[in-house]
Amino acid sequence: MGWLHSWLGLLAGLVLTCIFATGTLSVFDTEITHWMQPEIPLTAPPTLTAPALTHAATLLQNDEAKGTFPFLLLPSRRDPVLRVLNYNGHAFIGPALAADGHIFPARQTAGGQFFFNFHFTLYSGVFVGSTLVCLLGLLLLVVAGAGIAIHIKALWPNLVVVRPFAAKPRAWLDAHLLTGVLFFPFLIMITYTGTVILARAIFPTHPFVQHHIATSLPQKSRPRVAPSAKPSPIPPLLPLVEQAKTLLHTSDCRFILFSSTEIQIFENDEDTLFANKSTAIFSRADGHFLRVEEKNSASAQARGLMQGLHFARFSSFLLRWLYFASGLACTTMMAAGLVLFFIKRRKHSSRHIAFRLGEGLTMSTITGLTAATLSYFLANRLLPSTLPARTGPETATFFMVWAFFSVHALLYSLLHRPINGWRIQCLAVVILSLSLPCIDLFTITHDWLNNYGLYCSVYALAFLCATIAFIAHQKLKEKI
Amino acid sequence: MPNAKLAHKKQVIVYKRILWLLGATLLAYATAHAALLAGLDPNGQDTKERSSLLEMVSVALLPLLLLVGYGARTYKWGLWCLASILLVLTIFNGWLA
Repeated sequence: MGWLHSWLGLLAGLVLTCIFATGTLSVFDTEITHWMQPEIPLTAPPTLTAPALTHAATLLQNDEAKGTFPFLLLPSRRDPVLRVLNYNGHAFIGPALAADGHIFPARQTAGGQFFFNFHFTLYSGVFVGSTLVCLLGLLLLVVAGAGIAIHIKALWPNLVVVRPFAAKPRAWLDAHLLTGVLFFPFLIMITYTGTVILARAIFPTHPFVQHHIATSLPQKSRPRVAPSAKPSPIPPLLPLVEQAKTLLHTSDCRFILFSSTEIQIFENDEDTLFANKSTAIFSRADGHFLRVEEKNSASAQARGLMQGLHFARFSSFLLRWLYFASGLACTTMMAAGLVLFFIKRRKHSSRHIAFRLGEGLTMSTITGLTAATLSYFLANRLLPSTLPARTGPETATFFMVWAFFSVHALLYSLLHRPINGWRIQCLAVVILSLSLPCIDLFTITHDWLNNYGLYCSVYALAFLCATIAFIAHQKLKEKI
Repeated sequence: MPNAKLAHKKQVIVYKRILWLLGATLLAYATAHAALLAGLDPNGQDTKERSSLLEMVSVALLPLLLLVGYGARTYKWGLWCLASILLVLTIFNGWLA
């Protein structure tokens, strides 16, 4: 089991660390989007008004005429503005509207959606990416099971032992075990629910299951044809939303989808653990009610529970922070495991090129990804806010910085100077982390009182990141 | 024992483990998939509902079966166990069809 845990852990861990890190950030995807669009004030309560919906419908029809498939995201407690969104292949982007219908002059950004997309597709498309992520999720369950089998003897006398000042392998092992054992229930829950959500990707289709055939065609290869007939104009939406609330027995609706003949209004699932959205469907031609699609069957409820637990949309602000902390602990556990793998084998295998490459990739996964994430945040502030197709340069910054750090890590590792490589990258993370609050303060004239909690949280996390990187840098200094 | 011989012996052990893992993975996947098929009713109306639930069960089964297949190496009973379950499920699925 030790062999299985170590080697599968190494091979899957390099990517899983990235999946967990971006998943942890996705817990606050909406809040990250808010931080990245400081032009949108978030003080007004979520109000749905007729002028806003009328203007949104006009924008939506303009987008439809261009051959895209936009939809409306209605105001909610967490995101109190009306948005007209389009899927650009990786994220939902589009303008945000105020209650009086005017468009906020906000910068275009992929925001937190970028991390969400990376989390479940590795930014490589729904078909390939999701299948890979699903397989890696299964591998993580196997590795976690093997880890428990190894550790089971030690679990009885001591649940966890922490010796941070012990010799190097011991301290890293303790860090790995501490996070692994304490957050094991969270790890299993989040991995299992995440894998179940994507399970359709790994089991073959069955000819007698109709919905398998319908969903088996890869999303990427599905041709995007513009509707043959011109869709009819959209009837007034506010009365339809009010009617949908009554029909669905809900106080809020979340989004509205449009086809050439129908308008589908989905209930809000933010107040329930089950991420099942029942739908009220109206005719697009004249707005008359067609039907309600409810998802109350046992299997739909079970699936909704899996999705609800994984997406954590139901959760309060405090619970969302707990998800974030748990995700961070699981990412730390994987990163500590990767570092431990190389510490244990350095004495006998450090001359092997595979070892050098592995250590370089580990460095690029841990410090490189951190630096790339910080650069993505910095790019949001440094790129001109009026730049056209701004999401492209923003995400390109992330990948370019990551590629640069990866090349640097591999070079230092291949030149038998990994400690120097780690130190330089830690220092770069410190500089990037500290520059984030400074650049934010100098480039944005946002009203602090509007959303001070959001800005304080980002600054606090940047300082935490800088502190950890600085401590690591100082510790590594002692080794030389 | 000379170093070269020891290294060769170690290499053989690693190759055997990889083969064992591959075998356990294939058998575990086939068994989990057979379990999914066994739960489906080809002529039923609720296949979507059932397949949705059965996928959840299969995803939970897959890592467990793989751990049993790889972990239980004494007398190869892990692989035998998976092979037996797969055989039973295949016969059951054939009988259903």
